[in-house]
Amino acid sequence: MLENLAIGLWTVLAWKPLSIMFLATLAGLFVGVVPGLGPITAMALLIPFTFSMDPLSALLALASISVAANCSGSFTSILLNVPGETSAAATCYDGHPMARQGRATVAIGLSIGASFFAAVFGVVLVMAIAEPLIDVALAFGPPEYFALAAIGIAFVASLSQKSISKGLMMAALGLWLSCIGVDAVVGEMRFTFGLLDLQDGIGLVPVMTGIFAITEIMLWIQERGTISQIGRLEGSVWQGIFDTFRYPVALIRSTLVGAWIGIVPGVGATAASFLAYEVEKRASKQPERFGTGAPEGVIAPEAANNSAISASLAPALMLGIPGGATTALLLVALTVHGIRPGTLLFSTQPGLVYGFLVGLLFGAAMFLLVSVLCARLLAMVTLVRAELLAPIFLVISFAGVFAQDQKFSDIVVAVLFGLLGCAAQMFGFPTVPLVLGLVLGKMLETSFYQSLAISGGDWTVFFTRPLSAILIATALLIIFLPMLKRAVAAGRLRFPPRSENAG
Amino acid sequence: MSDAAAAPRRPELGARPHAIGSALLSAAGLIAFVLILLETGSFSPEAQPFPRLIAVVGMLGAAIAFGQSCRAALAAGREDRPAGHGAAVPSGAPSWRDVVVSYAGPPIYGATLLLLGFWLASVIFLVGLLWVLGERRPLVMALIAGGTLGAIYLVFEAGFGIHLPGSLLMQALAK
Repeated sequence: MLENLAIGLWTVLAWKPLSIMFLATLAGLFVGVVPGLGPITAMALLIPFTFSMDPLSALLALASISVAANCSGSFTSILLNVPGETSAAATCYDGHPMARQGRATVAIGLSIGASFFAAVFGVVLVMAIAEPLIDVALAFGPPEYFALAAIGIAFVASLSQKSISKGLMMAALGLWLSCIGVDAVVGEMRFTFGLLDLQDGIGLVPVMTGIFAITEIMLWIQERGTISQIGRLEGSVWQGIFDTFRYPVALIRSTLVGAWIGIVPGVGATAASFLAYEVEKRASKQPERFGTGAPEGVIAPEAANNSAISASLAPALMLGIPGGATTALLLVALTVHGIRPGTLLFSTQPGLVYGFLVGLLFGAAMFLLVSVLCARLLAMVTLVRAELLAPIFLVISFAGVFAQDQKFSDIVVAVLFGLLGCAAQMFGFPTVPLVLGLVLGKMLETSFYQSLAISGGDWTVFFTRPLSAILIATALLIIFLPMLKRAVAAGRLRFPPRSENAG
Repeated sequence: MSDAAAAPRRPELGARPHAIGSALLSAAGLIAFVLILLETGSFSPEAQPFPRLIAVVGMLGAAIAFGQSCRAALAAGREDRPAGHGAAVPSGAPSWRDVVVSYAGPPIYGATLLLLGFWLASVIFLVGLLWVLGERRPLVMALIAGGTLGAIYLVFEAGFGIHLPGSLLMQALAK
């Protein structure tokens, strides 16, 4: 491994790759904080500019802009309760309450610290044990993919502890949204109601912008005042970064959860961040702190989503299977430069592969540096009155929604989901399960039909394979155990124990 | 500062309106999932299982949520009765004017965007909403409108070459 590290360092320690990475990091930081723009848009727009670069510079530019945009997407989760990326949605749970307590800079510090640690850990993991990791990933067949996606949705639905049934309903709504458009099996139109714009399906960006950004802006208008309820900022970014390491168990556990999810192609960083959040909440001795500004509630999703992104490079580089949209774009860039991903890539192009991986470590360090410099400035947004913020962010959000596909119908979708999000929040319906349902819907559907195809239409396939059966059972337990517990507790209240009556 | 310090709470509805609204939304969800289930009947048999599974899960969730909300509404009604008419208005409740502005703002902006195009609609909307929300200083309004649209122009149009929506009205007039 040390030899690989030396090869990587030798390749990347030159002014050209380093300066390209710095510029890409800076661009990614600002792209990430604009609602509607994210790493995928940034990478897609950057790809044409990388044609004239050498392969290593091209890969580093794309990876740096992606890492920076992904990490800074969490800043908007913390500051505005508006995730810049779906993978940053779980950070809202505890990051935004911290901002409302005036601790926005500390929360950003926690996010930076956890992201940096996890990104470095993920890259080192890929360099050290990529091949055994791939064997683990290959043990997953369609039923296991289905079960894994189901467990992700069950976890998120169960996060709405007050009413899991509401979470389940919203998750089903998100899954239904993912069905709109062309069917994956026979190619027929579903739920398009004769509207041409619905044939391509419902985009994630307009739904997310509507349900998070527009809803939040509407609530700002109703609430007035500043996001920071104490009217000032307390603590510093460095305090947050150091605090990250005061929770080593949460940090390492969440990083491992993220890495495990990351190497399984297609599941992605969003599911990883929610899973890690839920695991931390269940492992905590004081789970009631979660949702009120608990540091572990920021550390867990941030560590998990960053290690998932880094770990997803293993199947992408070794098997050519992208873990998500960002790794798919990296593979596009590789192919454009005439490089075929595969297990031989590590031995035939060590300079390129290890240079790229070491470059990612430098990229993470650059992001840490740049974001520490900008964090306090960004956190000042929590001190601006809502009456001024609301119009500005509404206009920016609409521009971001339109920019994605240049379709006016996306703006209509965003407005509709903004209204739905506001009503949902008012009446206690969680909105995150809806978004996760939309994110995981296609994968769930594809693996569902593939599972039925390999079993000849036998539905028991999900329960006869051990790993799949365990995962499905876990998903069912996650949903029904709290309901059962509540029912038992209600029964106890109605019928007090005999000993008490006797006394 | 203690980690356990509670986050400031947002204005909330009273228990009864919350439960009634929740029941109505659950009922809407239940109806929607029944319609989805019926709609799947028009698909080819190979394409039916997954949407049907979703519809059944959604119906289950919505039905339980509806039952729980109805029970909560009845319980809240019993608690309210001795105290007099209706639940007390919670402290920190938003004004009706702000609620109307928050709900009407995004659809109105969307419609204006279609008619007048992004740039003109955004100038009108930014200045208009700032004024409605109580901002009266012309310089602040001009700075916010100019700064926001300038930044959007730099990032979207100049930076990424993304053209924002044009005006349907102008296009119609040009013809």
